[in-house]
Order: sequence, then C-alpha cells, then structure tokens
Amino acid sequence: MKTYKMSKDRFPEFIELIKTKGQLFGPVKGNGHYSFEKIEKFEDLDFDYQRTVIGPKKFLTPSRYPTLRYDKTGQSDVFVSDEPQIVIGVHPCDIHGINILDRLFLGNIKDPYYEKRRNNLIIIGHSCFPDENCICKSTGTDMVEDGFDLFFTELEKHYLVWVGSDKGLSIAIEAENLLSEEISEEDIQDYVRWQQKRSGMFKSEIPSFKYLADIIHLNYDSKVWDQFGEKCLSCGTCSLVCPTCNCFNVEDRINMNAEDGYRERILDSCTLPYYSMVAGNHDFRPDRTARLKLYYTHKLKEYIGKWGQPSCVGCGRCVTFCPVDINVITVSEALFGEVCENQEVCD
Amino acid sequence: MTITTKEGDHAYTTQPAKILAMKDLTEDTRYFKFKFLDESIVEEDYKPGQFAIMSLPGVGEAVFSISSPPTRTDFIEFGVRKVGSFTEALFNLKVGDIVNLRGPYGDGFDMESLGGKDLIIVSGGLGAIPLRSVLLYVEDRREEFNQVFFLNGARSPADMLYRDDIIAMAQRGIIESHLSVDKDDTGEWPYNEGVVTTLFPKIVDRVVSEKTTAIICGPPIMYKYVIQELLKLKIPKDQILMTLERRMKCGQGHCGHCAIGGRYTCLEGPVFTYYDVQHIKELI
Amino acid sequence: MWKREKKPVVGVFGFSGCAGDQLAILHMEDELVDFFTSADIKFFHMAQSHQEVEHVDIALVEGSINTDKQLAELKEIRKKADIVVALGTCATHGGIQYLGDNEKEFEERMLLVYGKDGKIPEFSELVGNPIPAKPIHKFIEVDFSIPGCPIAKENFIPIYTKLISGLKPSKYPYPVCIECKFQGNDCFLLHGEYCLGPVTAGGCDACCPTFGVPCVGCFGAYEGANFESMIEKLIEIGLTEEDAKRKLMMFGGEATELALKGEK
Repeated sequence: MKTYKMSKDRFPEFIELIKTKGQLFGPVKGNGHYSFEKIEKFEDLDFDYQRTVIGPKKFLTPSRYPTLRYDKTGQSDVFVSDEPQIVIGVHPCDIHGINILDRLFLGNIKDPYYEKRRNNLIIIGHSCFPDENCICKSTGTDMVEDGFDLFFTELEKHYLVWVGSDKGLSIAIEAENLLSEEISEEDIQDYVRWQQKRSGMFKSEIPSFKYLADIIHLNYDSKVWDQFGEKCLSCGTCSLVCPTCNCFNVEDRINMNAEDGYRERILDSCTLPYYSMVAGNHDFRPDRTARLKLYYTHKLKEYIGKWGQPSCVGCGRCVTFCPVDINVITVSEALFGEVCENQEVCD
Repeated sequence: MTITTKEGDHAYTTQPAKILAMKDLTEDTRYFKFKFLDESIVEEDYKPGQFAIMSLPGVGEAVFSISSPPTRTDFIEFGVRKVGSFTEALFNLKVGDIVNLRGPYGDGFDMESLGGKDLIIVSGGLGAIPLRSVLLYVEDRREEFNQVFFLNGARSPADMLYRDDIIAMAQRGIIESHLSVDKDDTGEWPYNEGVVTTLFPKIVDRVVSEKTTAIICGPPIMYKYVIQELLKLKIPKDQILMTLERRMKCGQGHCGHCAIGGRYTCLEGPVFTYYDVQHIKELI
Repeated sequence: MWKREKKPVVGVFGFSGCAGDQLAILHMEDELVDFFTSADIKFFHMAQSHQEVEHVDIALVEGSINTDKQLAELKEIRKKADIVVALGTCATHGGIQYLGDNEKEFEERMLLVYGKDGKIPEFSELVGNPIPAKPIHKFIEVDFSIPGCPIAKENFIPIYTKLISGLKPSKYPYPVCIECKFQGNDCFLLHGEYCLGPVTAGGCDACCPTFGVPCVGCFGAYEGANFESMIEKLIEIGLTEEDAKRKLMMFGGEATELALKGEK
C-alpha cells in the first residue's frame, strides 16, 4: 500500500481536484444530524462527525430505484449513468459495510444494478474518533485495509493518505503537487500517538464478541427474545440505518397515463409484518419475536457461517437510532446476562 | 432452460415465452404450457423441484415451481393457483400471450442420484405441482427406479390435481398410487378419506427403509406429520427430501426474504433433507 | 404487458370530511391531465357540475358517513360500482369526527350544539338525520383503502393506476419510519419529542418529519403497530398515558380504539 503525506492546508485544493472527477459527496451537518450530501465547496464538508443517519450504502443500494421501464411496446433495463460518484469522509466501519455488501452483491451471482453503481463509486475514507455508541473495536472493524480508493488519516498537522486501489493511485499521481512521499520518523510517532489516543477513547463494547455467535445459538429459545419482541416497534429503522442491511422488495408501478411504468426496488426490513408472508397469506414469521430473532441471528451469527465474519461493523447506528433501545449492545448484553443469571459464570 | 446466457444478459434478464396451452385443473388452479420465443433455449437444463420467476411488466414478478420434467424438452409447464395480484393477472392471459421468464433457480431433486432406489412420493394439495415434475421424470426414465409409491392428499375430490394423469400412470404400472381426500363432499370418491398420513398403512409392509428415498411437498402443516410416518418406517434422515416454500423476490440470494438461518431457500433450497430440518431452526 | 379492453369508468364521491382528498387529486398538477384522460371520469363531486351516473367500474369514496341520507347514498354507490375504494382517513377510519362516536356523548353534543331536543328538522331534510361518524366499511364492502389526511399522491397513484389497469394492487404494510429513514431523517422520539411514525401507516413519504414536524398519525394505524410499546415510549418522553392515547386516537378510528382496549 502506497502512503503519502499531505499538509492540512492543501486539503481544499485536493477537494477542488477530485470535484473534477465526478459528483462529490461528503459529510454535511443539517437539522442536527449528519448525512452524505452533494458538495459544492470545501466549506460544506464537516469531517468532525461520528455517523450519518444513513451510511454510504445509499450510493449503492438507494432506498428506492427503478430497474426496468416498460410501456405497451416493450421493456428496457434502467441503469445509472457512467458518471462517477465520489464519496469522501467515509469511516472505517462504513467501508467494512461496503465490503460486506460487495461480497453479497458481487459474489457468484452479480447484481447488475449494484455492480454498475459500485464501479462508478470512488471511496475516500477518513479517520474518526469514537463516541459512546461506537463498537467497532469489538467487531474488529475499527481499522480498514481494503475497500477504499484513498484513505485520509488526520494527524496533528498532516494527513496520512493511504492508497487502496488503482483508481486511488491515479488520483494520487494527479495530486502529486499536494502530496509528499517523505514520511519522517516524527510523522510515524504522530501516527502512533494518534492510534493510542483513539484507542483509549472507546467507551462501549459488545461483551465477548468472539463467541457471541455461539451464545446466540445456545440461547435460541431464550425468553430474552420475547422481551425484545414485546418492545420492538417493527418500525424498520434498524434495517434502514444498518450499513449492511440490504433486503429489498420489488414492486411494479404504472404511471398515471396507464400507458407506461417502471419496476422499482425498495429497501425492506425483516422486522416488517409481511416480510415472510407468501402468496395465500401463509406467514412464516407472524410475530415480532421471530422477525427480530431473524434480524439478529442473521447479522451476528449466520453470516459468520456463510462469509466468515458477522455482518455487524460496529458503526453504532442501531444503538443511536432504535427508539426503544433494541440494538447489538442491548441484545448481546441480554443474551450474556441470561447466561450469567443462570450459571453465575460471568463475575 | 438456462435462460441468461447471451452476451449482455444479466442476472435479471428475462426471456419471453409464449403460452402454448392452458387448462383449468381445479376451480382456482390452472395448468400453463410455455415455449420460449428464442429457439436456441432448450428447456431441459433443470431439476425437478427447481423454480422459475415469471415477470409481467406492470404487474410484477412471482415465483413458480416448474411442473414439467427436464426429460421433456421444447416446452415448460407450470401449475398456478390464483391467490394474489400476479396470478390473477396471469389467469387473464390467453393462449399466444407472452410471459417473461427467468431461472431456473434453487436446488432441486437430484433424480440421477436416486437411480436404483425405491421412492415414496408424498403430496399434499398444491404440492402435486412440483412433484408432477418428479412423477413425469420417473415415467420417462422408469427403468432407473425400483418401487415408486405415490401418496396424495387433497382437501376434496374437486381439489385433487392431475387426477386422471395419476390414475393412468398407476394403471400402466409406473407408480403405485394411493389417493385420499380430507373430506369427500361428493359421495362418489372411490378412494381413501382422511389426511395423507392415513395412506401409510397401505404401503408399510413393502417399504425397504435403507433403499427408500421419500420426497415430500405440501402445505407447511403437513411436513411434521408425514416425517413422523417416514421416521416410523426407518427411512434414513438424509433420504427424506422435501421442498419448502418461502417469500422470494429475487431468486439469487440478494433480496433476503427467503433466508432461513444462514441459508437462502432460493439458492440452497427449496429442496432440503430431514437432516437439514434437524440442524436448521425455523425450517419447518 | 397489462391489457386494458377499455377505459374504466371512475366516479369520485364525497361524504363528510373537508373534501381534502378530492382536492389532493386536483392538486396533482403534473398528473392531472393524465388523470382525466387515462380513465373515464364520469362523476367528480368537486370538479364537475353535471353529475349523473348509472354505473362505475371504480368508485373513489371520500368522507365518513354521518347521516342516514349519506348511508343510503353510499349503499347506492356500492350497487353501482364494481370496485369501491375508501379514499382518505375519513372514509377508511372515520376521521377526526370519529372521536364523537360514543352514542351517549353524541346525543349530548347534539343537544349542546343545536339546543332544543338536539333535532333539526330543516337540516334533516337537506342532509338527513345525523348519526355518529363511521368509516364506510362499517356499512358496505370496501375493496381497497387509501388512507391519508389528505391522501398522498405517492401512495394514491400506484394503487389507483393498478385499479384502472384492471390489476389488483399488492399490500405490504409499513410504518412512516420506513420512508422517514428513506429521507435520511433523525428521529424525534430520540430527542424527547413525540412522533407517531412507528405506529402510523406509511405512504406519505414522511413529509411531516422531513419538514421538521412530528407525525400525528393521519394515515391511521400501521398494521404492525405495537401500541403498548409506543405508549411506553411516549410516557418515557413525558406524556401521560391519557395524552398518549388521545394522540393515538386523533386519526386512529375504530381500529386504534380496539387495539388500545386490547381487543385486537
């Protein structure tokens, strides 16, 4: 991995440069929360943020988008244009989230709509400091080695700029006059100090994350699930804010002229009441408990069997946004709590 | 019918197929026979138990089990029950109309590996639709199988699917069929009355456990009881095969709806073994 | 491709309510020409003066039923129409006026407002004898419901265009929160402000929360609503249980009333 150094005061020039590569998006503060929005000028950007409500998955699996258009004469696929989208300021957890989505959508069977968006997306990561809802240290996603094109680590006076792809490298080469290849002993010490500072800032963790999957498996019939099921609002917020939740529905729409229309993909949530209902109205998961259990077992346990790692990246969005405090921390604590209560092993 | 093969095709590319024939099977269930417009598509590259997705622009997409066997090419058949918005629109089509298809999806019954075996095929209600593919496969390759029992349960005589075809197959000695209805409301049903499990005594003394593979398809409630009967017959757990239904939107393990534990029914199912059932929560 | 033999005949009828749903249709400026050309609009209470109709394929019925005369008209509409669609929360849930539904309270209120014996003969002839407000499905079979106060075109158009195309709209209930998160909004409930998004049927594109106004539940209850947990949450942010229930009842109609009584 090639690494450069960039003086902080050159950063606006870098933003000007990458704006020429396509549509630029980055973290922006508005209405008291952050979101990735279109960037017109450097001043719009605000890198001092913990999490956006919706992560960069919105560039890859938008909440709703057409996949097919049709009229009386026929049908045609709808793909996004080739114009690159650049998203800057992406934190390590969200880059891990994209890696997980890549594995699903670009595995053996490639999703053509995702693939097109992914190929058009340039990801420029940015370092962060955790708040009390960040649990990426537990999930092992506090650092990121791949999945980005460039990654900026913000030190005292400089950025360390890590190159993660050929696309990133060509941008770096173009930005040659803003970057330096000379990384001094002092810079390395700066970096280590930054790591130590950040490492000491984590306040939350998921207990024994390494064997949480086993605990979920062993506690499959625990009453803990019913307790969460009673509380769950089935509002779907957890799914929509989760950087790895990708479930979607497909609906055909007809325009008001009744002459043409489009097929639309709409993000879905497994907490919604008809999620597992089949034609004829047989519902395989009629109660909230069963659906919530699917959400958490799929994310924290079953994904490991399938892909070798859970699909939680510790971004803390469910912790922040669930209105009734059902999230990876409370669920795992409750499941471990169950074990402790019954066996007094957790002292 | 591996449909997505041409350059520029992708996972959601559909192929237009023409309705060659339609016939009402029951009051709300209809037989459909399709032929792809593209002559280069040969309708043979699939297994019984696999499914396809039909698309009608403006209406949507829906999943259907293939009910014809891969041994009969040049057409592909389905049985469809009118239960929702898609099937209602499908029923309004006429012979010659076009439906777009993609697939085949899922993992079906590996009929070749069942060569030399006895089969107990247990069908309930609409379960006969995918199992028709198995039965016709057996008919076309009869020499590959040993004893073949077919147990069928239906709600009433009018609800029984493929009655004449099954009786004809039995008369020709292709299968030994035992038919039952939950309730005979006609007074003219010449066969058994009762749930499908009441048919097991008719075959029990001829079942050779180790040599037998059971194939089940029916309404969700049926599996548990049929499996109990098969276990009583000491059929090995991995020789009890069943095909299960789940909500599906994509057929390619992406939309999430058919997930059971870590498995996507559309990729690793819809055919599962009883061994799987024991290891995967929520399966039946 | 879907097939249409002919343009269906559509009637838009209105009963008690603010007529906001009819207005919402007329406000769909981009789609209005298509609305009047894609179907044969034979009757539109608000938009046309000449109104005679024998048969309609689709009747869009707005408003709650508040008089015996309306009830008789509603039954006539059912006879004339192949498909009846309840349009707007008054028709689907009874609307805000459903809150006066308690029989005894209703009588008292009539007395209070109209004096004498609470009967107004001159009105009775014109609009009929008043009865407590009810959604239309209490009296006739309703094929589809499109709630909203008023209806949202994002929700109305996909359902309506399926119907005029001879197709059955599919049903997939979800709450306002889904579209609220589609918009990328933060959550009022997390900041100590009440919002009924989690228990309210979606379809509005979360227009209120997106513009900084909490959801008041105007689409009525979401099919998956967990009222118990919602009330607990509202109490947690400072409402009394009574206030929480009042807020839920504003647009909730009978469905919410029963759910709050634990009868559903």
